[in-house]
Amino acid sequence: MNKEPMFFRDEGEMGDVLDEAESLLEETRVLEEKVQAQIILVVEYYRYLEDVVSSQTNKKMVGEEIGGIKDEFTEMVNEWDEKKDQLKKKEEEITRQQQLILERETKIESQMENFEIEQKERISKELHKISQLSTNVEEQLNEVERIKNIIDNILSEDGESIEDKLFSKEDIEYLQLNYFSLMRSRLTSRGVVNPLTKEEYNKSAWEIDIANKEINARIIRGIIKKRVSVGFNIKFIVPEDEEGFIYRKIGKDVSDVITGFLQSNEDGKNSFNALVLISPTGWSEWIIDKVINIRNMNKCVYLVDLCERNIFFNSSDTKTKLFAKWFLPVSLEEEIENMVVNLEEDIKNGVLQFRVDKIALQYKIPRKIVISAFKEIVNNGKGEFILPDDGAKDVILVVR
Amino acid sequence: MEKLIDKIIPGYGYRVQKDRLNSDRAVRDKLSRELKKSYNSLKEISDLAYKDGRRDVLRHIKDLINTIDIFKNEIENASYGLSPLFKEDKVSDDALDRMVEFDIGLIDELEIITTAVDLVYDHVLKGETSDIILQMRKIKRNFDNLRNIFLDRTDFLIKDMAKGEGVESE
Repeated sequence: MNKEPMFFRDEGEMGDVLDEAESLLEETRVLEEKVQAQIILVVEYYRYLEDVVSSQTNKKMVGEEIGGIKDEFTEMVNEWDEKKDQLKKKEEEITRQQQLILERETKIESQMENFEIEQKERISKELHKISQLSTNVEEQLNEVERIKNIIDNILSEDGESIEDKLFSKEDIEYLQLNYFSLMRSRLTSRGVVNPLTKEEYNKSAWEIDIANKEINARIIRGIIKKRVSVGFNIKFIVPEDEEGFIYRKIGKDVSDVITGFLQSNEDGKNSFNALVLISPTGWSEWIIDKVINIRNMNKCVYLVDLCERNIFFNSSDTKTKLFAKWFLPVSLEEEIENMVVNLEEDIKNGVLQFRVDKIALQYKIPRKIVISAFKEIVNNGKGEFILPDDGAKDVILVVR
Repeated sequence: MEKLIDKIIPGYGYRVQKDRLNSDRAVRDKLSRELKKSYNSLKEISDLAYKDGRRDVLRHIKDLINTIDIFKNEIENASYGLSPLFKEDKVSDDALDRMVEFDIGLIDELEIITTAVDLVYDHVLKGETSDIILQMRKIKRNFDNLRNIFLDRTDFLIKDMAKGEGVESE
């Protein structure tokens, strides 16, 4: 009898169990991956839940703490406000004190400025005084230097030259007397013609005024209204005394005098006037140059040099040249010769001894004229000198 | 892939010298255990075939069982602890990668075979046995493939490594 199989009944095929196995394994693998992914998600969610729960718990705890912290914070804020107010008050106080300090500083600065200004003014005045003193000292030094230069100039020249140019006050006086005497004799002995009007006047028409150092010789016309027809103004000019020496030539000192003379026009256009300036020491080149170029219708200017016995004027002007001979001084040789004549006359009268100072005083002539006359007599073999070195009081001429 | 192996065989890895022998042992234990399960399943199927008088089927099943049994004994008794992989510290990365590839191939093939044997058992229980001989032959072919992979792995460990192909020179 055939027994029915229990399992191997061949009721169907198995198919490809290997492919099925591969599929199952693949599905299993995919499932496992999905499960793994799900597990990861679940873990993450769990962690998230934990975080949420933890956060809520913390919030609750924080909420409880916040109340306390708020109170503490409020307390702290109040304390800070109080401290802030205190600081604000202190700041205001400091600001006020700073303001006071600033005001005082300003006041002190102002006082200092005023003090500085006063100091500066005082110093300025002192400086001004010092400057003035300095100027005075400088002027005095200049003056000293000028005198020193004059003395140096004098000392640098030789003795004879010094003797020729140096004049004593007495010499100057004698020169003036002699020249004025010469002028007076000429005026009183000569008539004159007005070169402008051609009017002639005899010698008695002169009106002569002799002052200290001036001669005014005028011929006056008119009865109701007097006017000068011809006028000579003769002035003797003495240079300033240089420490006892009369030496300096005259120059610009007289420019004002000349200008004033030329500008005056008191007596009208028909009045002829001459200004004669006499210098015992000579004239500077500057003033000579000015005078010799003066050209005026009715006025003439002359400079007389008694040292060199010379006269300066505008020689190209006819009328000036015409009147120059009126004021020409006596030459030195002529004067010495006159002195020799006088001495010889005295010798004839029995005088055997002459002393320079006495003769100069007697004849009112400068010493150098007397000495020149003595030399002339000695040179003629009529006498000899006794000098102060030989024991004489002054130079003496002894007649043989 | 290493993660997958790590999941199947805990502590698996050849990077560190001291872990290499244990990893090899773990792979062989895995193969042996799984093959034992398939062996048991096929044994039950053969019993059923015997009871149902299906001597034609029985012969194919027993042939597969004998093959598994022999292979299981080869796995369990294989001794290549003298391989340079386990003796040398410095082993090339290529050699290590090759070992991992062998092991992945073995596990993949093993899983297919064991799953297929389980499916055959289920179909037998359902009476769907008309093509069981064909399935046995297919499983036998996969099983041969598994055994070849294992033999290649053995050759690599014993022969190739011994030639110094995987060992880094000092």
